Amino acid sequence: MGRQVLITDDTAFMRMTLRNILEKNGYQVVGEAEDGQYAVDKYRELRPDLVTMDITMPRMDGITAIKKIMEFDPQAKIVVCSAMGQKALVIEALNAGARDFIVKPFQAERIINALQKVTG
Amino acid sequence: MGDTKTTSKEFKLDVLKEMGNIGVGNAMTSLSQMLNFAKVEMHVPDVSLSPLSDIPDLLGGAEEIIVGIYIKSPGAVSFYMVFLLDLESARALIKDLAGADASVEEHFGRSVLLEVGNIVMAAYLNALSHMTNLTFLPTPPLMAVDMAGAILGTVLADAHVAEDHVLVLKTAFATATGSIEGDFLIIPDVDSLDLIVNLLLNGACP
Repeated sequence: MGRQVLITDDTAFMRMTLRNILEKNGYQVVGEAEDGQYAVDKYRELRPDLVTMDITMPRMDGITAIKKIMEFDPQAKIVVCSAMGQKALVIEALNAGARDFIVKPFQAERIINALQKVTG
Repeated sequence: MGDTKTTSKEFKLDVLKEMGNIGVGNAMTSLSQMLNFAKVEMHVPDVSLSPLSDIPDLLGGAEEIIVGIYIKSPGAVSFYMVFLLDLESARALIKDLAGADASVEEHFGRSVLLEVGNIVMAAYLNALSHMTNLTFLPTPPLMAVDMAGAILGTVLADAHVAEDHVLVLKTAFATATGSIEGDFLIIPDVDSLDLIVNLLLNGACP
């Protein structure tokens, strides 16, 4: 319960890495999106409990996707997972509605702890 | 007078080298974290300036097939970043990170390298951002496997860059599976060059 996750990242390797970490820790990956637009579309379709979101992606970046998902569902639980750890971007993502911001590269515990905190 | 002109150019070059130094430590730490600290011995990066035309020869020869992962960081302070790896280093990275003997040409192997490039170049930009208080929003990384000259041609197609002022950051790691050597190139847009120098001069106080 409360552990269905949508993974968003433009590289297959990172999506695979996240999937492995999440599934090992009892989460169910219900969808994968390779850019922000897919993430928005998949969110509407799947209504996952949690979303991991990259920032730098083609077609639609992560911050735009966060805003669109939050417009659709203000209760959406989105955790950013990005290499772009610049202060202004972190603030922008959190202001857009992200619950946490994890900078790559990360240890598995970091993302699991973040998801646990978000689901309370 | 001639001396003043030379000093001024040398000073500009020194300031640009500082741009290389600022971020490369962060970028290399990031890469070594991906590879697990315990397995990695990181060598001190070498930073130098080179004209664009000399680059293919710097990287083990103009006819060598190598891997290039590249981004553009647009805006007022605009530059290209290219992360170049020889094929053996690229394969070693794929093996170290994904445990796979995947080819650099296959989708999965490319994906690993793209993510490495993404993380390492973003780490560089994070450090530069911290130093300058600017925000850098790069394009998603792309990758090419080709001779160095062809890769640079692809990266810089239609670009107007400062061809005499390419920063070359040579990095090397020793890992459990072998050694990984990579070169970062930072190629400023010609219109951004003076801006970059001024920015680093103004933001360079410790």
